[in-house]
Amino acid sequence: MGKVIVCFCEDVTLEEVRRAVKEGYRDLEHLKRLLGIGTGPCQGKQCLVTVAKILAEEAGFDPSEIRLPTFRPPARPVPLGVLAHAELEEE
Amino acid sequence: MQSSRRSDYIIVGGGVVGLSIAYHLARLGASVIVVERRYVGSGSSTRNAANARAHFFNREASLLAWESLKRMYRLGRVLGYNTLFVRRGYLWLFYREEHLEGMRSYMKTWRELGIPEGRILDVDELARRYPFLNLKGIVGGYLADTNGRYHHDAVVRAYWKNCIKLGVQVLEYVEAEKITVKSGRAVGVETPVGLLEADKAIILAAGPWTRILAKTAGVDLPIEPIRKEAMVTEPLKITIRPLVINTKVNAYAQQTLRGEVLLSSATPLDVPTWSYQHTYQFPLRAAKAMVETIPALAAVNWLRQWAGHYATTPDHNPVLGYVDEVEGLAVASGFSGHGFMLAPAVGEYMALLLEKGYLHPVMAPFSPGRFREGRLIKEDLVIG
Ligand SMILES: Cc1cc2nc3c(=O)[nH]c(=O)nc-3n(C[C@H](O)[C@H](O)[C@H](O)COP(=O)(O)OP(=O)(O)OC[C@H]3O[C@@H](n4cnc5c(N)ncnc54)[C@H](O)[C@@H]3O)c2cc1C
Repeated sequence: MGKVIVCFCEDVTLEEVRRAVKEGYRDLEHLKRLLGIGTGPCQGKQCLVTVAKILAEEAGFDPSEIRLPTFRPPARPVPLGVLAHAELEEE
Repeated sequence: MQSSRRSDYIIVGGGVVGLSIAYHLARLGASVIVVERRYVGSGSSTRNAANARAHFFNREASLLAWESLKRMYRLGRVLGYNTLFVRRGYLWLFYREEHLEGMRSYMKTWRELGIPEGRILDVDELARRYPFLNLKGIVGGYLADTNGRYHHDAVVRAYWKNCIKLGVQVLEYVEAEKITVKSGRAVGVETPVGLLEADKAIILAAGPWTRILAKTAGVDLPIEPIRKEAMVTEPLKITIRPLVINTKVNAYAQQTLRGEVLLSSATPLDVPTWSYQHTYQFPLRAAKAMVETIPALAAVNWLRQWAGHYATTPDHNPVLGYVDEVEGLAVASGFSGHGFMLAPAVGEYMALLLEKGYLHPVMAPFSPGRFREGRLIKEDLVIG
């Protein structure tokens, strides 16, 4: 089998994920921080569920046991200039 | 894994501070268990801006920070794991002459303490060196280029791996519920997996939650969980080398090692709360401040925001050492927003105190007793 990419934004391969799980990283948070999965422009929307499934298979967990990292704003990239010119209601 | 329930030391909190203390204790031959409620690094140690400086506005903090920064420089080599430290520098931008004056007087203090000096840059030099800055309203800057940034995840992993190598048990997803005190001595930590017993001491390195745990042993520590937010953009070619600090509104921007622009700003919503909930006001405020300072940022795409804590004390300095009220109970918390950079020195000094009974003079001013005794550490210059 050729190279299988699981995180398109950060170019992370299936092999890299498997290796990290073997090394003992058994938490999506740790995989994210070690490999950079989910930190690119899509912020994990394409890859995290796939990686969760790989982690479950490799580590012998039930997929429902895998905790997903928190999804945070923005839903899609927004230029800073748009934010800078937005009306800020005083808190 | 076969794990023992008893060891010389139990450390509560698997952040960078708990791991650094564990590593140094293990190096001195002690047995250590670290209990972490979630995953290693899940507190502020994975939520910080990853900057390290020696220049603080009082002697005590500057000395501790300089000792730590020197250790940060060589940490990767010592731990055998690349911590990705780079001397990118700090650039403070001033909008008032009196702040520039204050900085000049503080430079004397740093010189006396042997801390590498930065220098004042006038507006012309700022324009030449940093063409991306909008200098409107700016009277000058201070560039300290021996300061820098690390990769927080790499540093946490470096300590964690070394802890494991030295036989430290790092238990993730185990919450410390209560400190057991017997005849005035802290002897154990109650957890859902049973009582963990400490023969020598229990160390609370649980970030702002340290206060809650200390209370279970009858100790009151003035540490507030102030929520602090940060945000990043898409990666760009590295242009903004130093950390650029807008002292007018207390905001900053810089590029991470992979080129993302990381921004933060003080906001009225930096309030005590246990919640990591982000606010919609924060990105607007940080973007407004830093697009004004660096106009070209307007075109850069924002990708993510998150929140963490500044475990804040009344004098904005950490709480380090044994508590007076209970024997065998020590704390390392209250870092008030600069604990990551202090972890290398704090871990070493705490281990010396615990295992050798030696209170390092650089750490001594930060004793937990200072709040009751009214010996707060004074901030000589407050900017922003
Ligand atoms: C936005 C932001 C930017 C920052 N920028 C910088 C910077 O540039 N430079 C810098 O030096 N510092 C910075 N800081 C501060 C820095 O992140 C902290 O000072 C540092 O991470 C503190 O480390 P710690 O190990 O003490 O705490 P934490 O990393 O918070 O670790 C405490 C751990 O204790 C665990 N815990 C809590 N209660 C329990 C319990 N009952 N049982 C078991 N475990 C428990 C938590 O889960 C947590 O993992 C920043 C902070 C924020 C929020």
